[in-house]
Amino acid sequence: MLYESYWVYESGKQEKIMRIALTFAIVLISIAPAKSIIQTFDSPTGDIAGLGWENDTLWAVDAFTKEVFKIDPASGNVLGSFTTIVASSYEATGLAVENYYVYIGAWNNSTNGYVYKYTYGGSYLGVVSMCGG
Amino acid sequence: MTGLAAKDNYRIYVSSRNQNRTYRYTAPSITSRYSYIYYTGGSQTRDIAITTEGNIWVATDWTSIPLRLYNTSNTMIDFIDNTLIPSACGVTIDDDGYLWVSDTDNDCIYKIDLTEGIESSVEDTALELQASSNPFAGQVTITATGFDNQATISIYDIRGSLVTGDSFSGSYVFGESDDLSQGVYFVRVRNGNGSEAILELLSL
Repeated sequence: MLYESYWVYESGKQEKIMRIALTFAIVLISIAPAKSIIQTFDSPTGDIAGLGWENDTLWAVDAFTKEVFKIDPASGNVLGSFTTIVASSYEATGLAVENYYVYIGAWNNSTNGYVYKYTYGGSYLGVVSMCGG
Repeated sequence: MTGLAAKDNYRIYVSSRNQNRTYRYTAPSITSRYSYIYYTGGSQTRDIAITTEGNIWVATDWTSIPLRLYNTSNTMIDFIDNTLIPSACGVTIDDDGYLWVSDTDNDCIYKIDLTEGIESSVEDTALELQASSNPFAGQVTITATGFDNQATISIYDIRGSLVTGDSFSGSYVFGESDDLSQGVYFVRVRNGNGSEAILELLSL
């Protein structure tokens, strides 16, 4: 949307006598690009809840086993995996990879959440509480 | 807390399912929480991915539109519906801009091209949608070029509910017999080969 303001002049006067803010909401026609599935492969397990990407590698985490997989994106082959210490009452719900760290999000289907941090090789580095769920 | 994404070497984005929004943190210590995007009209969120522009793709439990794209103005600006992906749980974006999505109903992972229909048989044909007026009151005529004779049209409201759908042969009148509320609608026209275009409309 675009928002524009206009200055309004009284007829015959050179000075501005008032400013009326006219807001026009202009909805632009937006053409989204076409989308298509160009590759499909089997998940390493049945409940992949989080995906991440770094250095030409796809990472995945299973919601219930909480196992993390390093995947070759060209073939779907699992290149490696490690288990996490996410508590049994929590599900792994998200994954991010950044600067050679693997972050795992965990949630208890209520108000508590945690982010666990691991190395590429699966070494546990710590956990941070996420209040509010 | 259900989704994680990362960007710019030091940012971690955390999606809160209870609060229906994404927070931004500083990595690797995960500090300095900042409210980043609120999912207007969305809920039941799962994993997230962040684009180079800073927009957030969010997977949801919603069966009609399992993936939504939000900008930093908290507006849904694009989506992927269940005719392309049956369901979405995990999601990420690779360095080339492809979207990767896990489907826990079918135990598979998809690579999705967001830029063009690579598998399209209608090569070098630009897909284009136009509206007779936008915003519109009452009804609007949607016209299109570049679509094949198997094209379909689907129109969703801001919450992702399907309002109407039909086969599409070049033009479609929306609002003629529909009891429309004011607000934003998304028009999706899709070819038989899966390539598609989306148009955002505002009903007054």
